[in-house]
Amino acid sequence: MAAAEKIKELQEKVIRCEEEIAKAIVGQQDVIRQTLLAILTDGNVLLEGVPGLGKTQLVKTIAQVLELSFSRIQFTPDLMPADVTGTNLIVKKDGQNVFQFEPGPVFANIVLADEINRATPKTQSAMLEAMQEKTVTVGKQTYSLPGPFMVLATQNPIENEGTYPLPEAQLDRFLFKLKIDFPTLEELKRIMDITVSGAGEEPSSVMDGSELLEMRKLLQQVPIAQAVEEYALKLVIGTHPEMGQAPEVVKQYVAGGASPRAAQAIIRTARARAVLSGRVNVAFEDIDYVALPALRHRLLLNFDGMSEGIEADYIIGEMIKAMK
Amino acid sequence: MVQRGKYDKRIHKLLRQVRKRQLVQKEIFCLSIYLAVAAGLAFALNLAAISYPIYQAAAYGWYLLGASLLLSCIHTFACWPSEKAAAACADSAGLQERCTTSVELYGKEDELSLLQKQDTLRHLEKLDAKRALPYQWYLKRFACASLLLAAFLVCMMIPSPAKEEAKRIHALKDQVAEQQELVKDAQELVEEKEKDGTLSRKEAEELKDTLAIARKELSQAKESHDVEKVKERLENKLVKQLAQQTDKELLQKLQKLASGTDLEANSEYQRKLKELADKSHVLKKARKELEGLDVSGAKKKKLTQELEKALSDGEVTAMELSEALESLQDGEAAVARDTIASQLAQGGSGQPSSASPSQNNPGTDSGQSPGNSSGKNAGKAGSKSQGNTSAQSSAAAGQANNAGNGGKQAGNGQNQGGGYNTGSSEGKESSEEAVQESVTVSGKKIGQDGNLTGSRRQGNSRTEKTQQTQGWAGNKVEYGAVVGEYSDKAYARLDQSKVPSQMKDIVKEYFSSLE
Repeated sequence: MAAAEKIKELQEKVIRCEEEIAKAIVGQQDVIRQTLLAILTDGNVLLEGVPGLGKTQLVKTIAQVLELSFSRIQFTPDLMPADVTGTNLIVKKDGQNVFQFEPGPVFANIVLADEINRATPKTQSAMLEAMQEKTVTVGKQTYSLPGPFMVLATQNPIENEGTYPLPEAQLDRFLFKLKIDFPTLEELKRIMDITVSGAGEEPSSVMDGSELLEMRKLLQQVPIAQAVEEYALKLVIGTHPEMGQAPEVVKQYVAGGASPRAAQAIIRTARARAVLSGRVNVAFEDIDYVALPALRHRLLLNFDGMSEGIEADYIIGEMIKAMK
Repeated sequence: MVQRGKYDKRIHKLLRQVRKRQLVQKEIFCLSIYLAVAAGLAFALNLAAISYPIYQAAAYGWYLLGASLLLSCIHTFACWPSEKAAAACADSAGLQERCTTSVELYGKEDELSLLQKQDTLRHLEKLDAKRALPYQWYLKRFACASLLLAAFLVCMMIPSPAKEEAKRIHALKDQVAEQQELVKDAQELVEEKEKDGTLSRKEAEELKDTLAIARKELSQAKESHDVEKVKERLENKLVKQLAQQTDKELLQKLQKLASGTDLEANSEYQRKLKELADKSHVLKKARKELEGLDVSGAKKKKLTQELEKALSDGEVTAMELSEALESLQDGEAAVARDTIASQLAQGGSGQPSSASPSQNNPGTDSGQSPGNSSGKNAGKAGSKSQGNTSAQSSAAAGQANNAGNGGKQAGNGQNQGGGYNTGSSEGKESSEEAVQESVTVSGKKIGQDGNLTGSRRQGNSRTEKTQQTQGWAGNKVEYGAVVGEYSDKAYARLDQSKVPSQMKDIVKEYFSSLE
């Protein structure tokens, strides 16, 4: 199939995906689009929002639309790593007791790590290998996870009691951190219509895992101009207050900047965004579009930033203005 | 070099249009800045010219404006936009980095690259550059430049004393520069003369000092008449210094004649010697009279020129000097002039006119018509440059000053008695008997006795015809005026020079025979 046709098909399928998801999720177009971008570029997504905004519903719908295996892990303080990754059980086989690996819920295409910040750091860390290397090691045995694999985690920003903030290493493994805003009046009305009156439609699947993997390969080849690439890299470097290029706002409120994973995330997702926007090249606006979800969870605010209530989104917005 | 595909070439062609617009835009930008700056400078300059003397401030203002136009063009072409810059410019019109990416993908033919280029072409072809990339006119800058330009024009039109003063100063500078150039030429000439030995080191130093002082004075001149004064002073000094120099030259010539190696003493040689002596005598007289002459610098200059002419001709007769003196028009000087003229005429009355210095007409008739200036112009063929002749002429005038009254013996020697042969019997006798003898010095026969004619106190004058042409044909001078002096100098010279003893004997014998 020619590249042009592939791209056209990709665009169409993504649009159809969005349409199908919209059947279950009212509004939140940007969140849906950004989630799909992360999925198209092999990334994990951290969804943050107050309870009841449809985070879990969104992930479940996506899994349904993409026709991928889905598993949900409800993170609680007593959740153990083995509950996530799986464990070796003693089973009788041919009259003998032998250890047999019983895969955990992480062995799925889409894993919903619900309220991930409620689990202890030990359990949270059990996800690290799976999220980055797409493997799970139990005892001395390493098991590959099925592809495509992605973790869609949710967390509640306001319930701090009994929660364990995600460690930086784990945060960095999320491609995007998406914030789910409260719906508007119109959207809320539609939500009521769908849920209370039961007028909602069931979303249908649009593509399968193999198609998704092909799309990922295609998106990796989308050309990006040097100037655009440099802009993305400067943005990432600009998050480091110790660097000379850092804007004043970063120097003032940021303690630690984004890692090279952030640059990879920006460029990869910008490529996907360009294609979804009908282009075969990355533009500056693609970088700007993906910079916020790609960087916001990678900035470590300093005391001034935290005490003044400065948000990462504000700092990134100022950085983008300063870089232009 | 990347080999471009068909899409690349099309994109390149379409971007050319964008580049042209970029170039024009750059020119507008540069022009707005340069013009505003130049107009501001021109205005400031002409504003200052109202109060301070600035020569041709208006012209400089126009030059500045012209230069601003030129510089803006140069700047524009120096910053010729690259294809990447043009692509970026096109992208700024809403093409979302399509052109930039395509330019970077020149030469790549993979599927996605081709797809991207096709996409770029589609958008580029739709691009209306005139609308999408309109020119920015920088109206504020141009308005500012226009205001400054108007102010400049107004300032340019306003008359002021400072502008007149600027013109006057400029004229003075030109005058000074011109004079400085002349002085510089003179310095070079002096150096040249010093090198070729025409001037001694001391004389050259004196002249250089004089010229250096003149240059300094010229540089300090505040007014035009200052320059004139310096000029006049310089001329006077030079005339004086060169006069001394010429006296020496003349003396050296005479010495050379006296101690010449050609010892063929014939009548021609003696006649020439006598002519020289007469010349010296008359020059001294004229010089003396000129010393006492109360005439203006201009008159003296004129007289000097006359003398210079005569000297450059190589023939200075009493009559010619008389004529030169008569050319003075000054009323007060008239008496003195008449006196000089009469004395010169007196001095020359007993003398035959000098032989012509011309090689073609070597004084054939000299002596037969006293005071006659025949052939005087014929000798101009060998005259030197203006500067040299001036020096010679002045020297002629100055010679009389230094030489004393010996030359006057022909007419008044009995009473005055000064000079080279003061009180000598020769002076009296020549006065009483009006003995004149022509001495023709033939360059080719100097030193041969056969060339000398006549004898001492012969009492009559004679004319020698010679077929031998020579540049220096000799002059008619009184015999007695030169012989004694020449003899002494010849003897002295002989003692100083390395001359074979036999030759010395011959020379001494010759001079003793003359006495």
